[in-house]
Amino acid sequence: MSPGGRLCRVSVVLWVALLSAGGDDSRAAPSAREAVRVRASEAFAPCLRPVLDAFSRESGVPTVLDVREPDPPGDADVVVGDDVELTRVLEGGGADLGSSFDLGYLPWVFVVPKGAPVEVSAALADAGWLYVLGGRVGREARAALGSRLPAGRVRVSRDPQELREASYALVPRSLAGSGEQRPAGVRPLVAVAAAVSGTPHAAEAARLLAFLKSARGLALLAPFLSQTSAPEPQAAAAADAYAVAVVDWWLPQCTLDHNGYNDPQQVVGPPDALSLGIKDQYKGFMSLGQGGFVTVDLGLTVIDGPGADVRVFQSVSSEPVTLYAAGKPAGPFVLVGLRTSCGVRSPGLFSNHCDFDLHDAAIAEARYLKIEDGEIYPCLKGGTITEGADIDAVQILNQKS
Amino acid sequence: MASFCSQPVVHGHARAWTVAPLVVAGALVLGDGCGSSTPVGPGGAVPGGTIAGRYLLEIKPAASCAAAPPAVSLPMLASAAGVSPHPGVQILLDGGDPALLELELKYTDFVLEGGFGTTGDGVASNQGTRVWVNAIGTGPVTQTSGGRGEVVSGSLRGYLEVEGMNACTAANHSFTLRPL
Repeated sequence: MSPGGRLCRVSVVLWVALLSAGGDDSRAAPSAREAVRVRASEAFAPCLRPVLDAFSRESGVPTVLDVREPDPPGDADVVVGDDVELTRVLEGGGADLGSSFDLGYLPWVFVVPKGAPVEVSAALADAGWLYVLGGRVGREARAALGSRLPAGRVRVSRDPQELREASYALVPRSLAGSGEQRPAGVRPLVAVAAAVSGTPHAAEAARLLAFLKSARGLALLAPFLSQTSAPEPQAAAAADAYAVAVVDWWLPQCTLDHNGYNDPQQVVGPPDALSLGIKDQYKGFMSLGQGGFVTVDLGLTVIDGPGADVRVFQSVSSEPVTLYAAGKPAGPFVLVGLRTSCGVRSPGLFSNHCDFDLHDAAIAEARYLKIEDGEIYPCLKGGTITEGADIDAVQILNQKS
Repeated sequence: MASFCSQPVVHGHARAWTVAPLVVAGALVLGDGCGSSTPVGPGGAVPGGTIAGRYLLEIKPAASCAAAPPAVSLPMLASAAGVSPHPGVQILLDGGDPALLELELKYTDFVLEGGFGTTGDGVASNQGTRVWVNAIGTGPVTQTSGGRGEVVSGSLRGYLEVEGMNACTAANHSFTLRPL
């Protein structure tokens, strides 16, 4: 049980009545067999309720919103969750990767009483308890903020009402109460929707997904979700230079036994990963398993220039990546970025990406990069053949002239 | 010969990686062939040793982690795991569901390095608190008098949460791995 789960696990089933306006509830409420079941985590439920309501009214297809983590999908027909919540469902084929798309970004905010100091740490100084959303996304937020949170005064909760009523809270904007909101500086949640594989209501699920990404659906989501994330640090104009060779790699034996994409050579060259449209069928990346790594020769020297210096392309969701850099193939390797979420969308490409700045490692240049899995999920518990970060390519953004 | 200096060797059918006393003696005699004298671990201990059998893993959060407890410990069971592209060791929770805490480590150059992972459910420590970890550990291995390997000073970089403390991502958590 996660920390959040210990305190409160809420499973709310919301019946969106087909004929809710003035209708008789017993007549209006559809049976679960007839409805399209949508499973979404607490953060996204408030965003979805209005749009599901509208869909049911306008299409005649009833919907049921089941508020819980979308992994596993259970009896749902459609899942909606953040990248980190859907990683295993999408990679393992529990949901149809081909049907998935982004609904938008949901920022994290600190909620503080009106009139609290502008600076967040000063505002939190008076907090008796800081309530933080639990679950996977909450864990990532708490880990990202670390010592910026008040020591010994953090309470993890999955109860939307408790979070909304809290004087001090760290929550996705959809769960913010009446206090003042301050930017949290945490990666915004990415709302991803997908049809569950093998659903008996495939046609209705497809209709719902089409509605969600229609102009009408997006307009209903707009009060909660942004169509753009916070601006990324400006990367240099992308050079057409990618890793040219593998100099070392390692995957645990357990990973070699269970994963399907173990070829380190897939990391060399420009991004070319693809989903073949069939469960577990991809090409063009190397899955790093539990804590595996690949070390590449860039063939050129990357320098600490303007903005980010290195871009790592990682396929499917935002599995974190750790990057080290060195001037020689045997090192010593210096840590550049630790467990960096690697899910920034790359228009026109299957893979997402994450950027690294040599400045963070206080080094001026490097030629060899060690890319290490940052998910570090227990191999024996993995349910997919793509465990770990899935590395497609490594690009130099600032090269030595 | 160089491989004796750089990598553990297979210890027979036990499927455990070891640096047998004979090999270390060879390194002493043929020190030049290895490019240096016998490597010496922390406190003058002999590097290497078999990583197999029951261990006590102790994990200590970085000092920068807010409200961190002193340390937590867990019983573990180690066995050899793989030879290519590098030899490895798998260390699982001893008792209950072994994969609640799984260590998948590369064992080369007398150093263990690799992932420490729990699922979102975490794992109960000997202290009764739950622990969540997704981190990379690195630690030099030295021999005990019985020839087993141990890590007396390892570093751990990544995510660590112990019930009651804030979640904490840091590059300087620490761990030890001692034979039982």
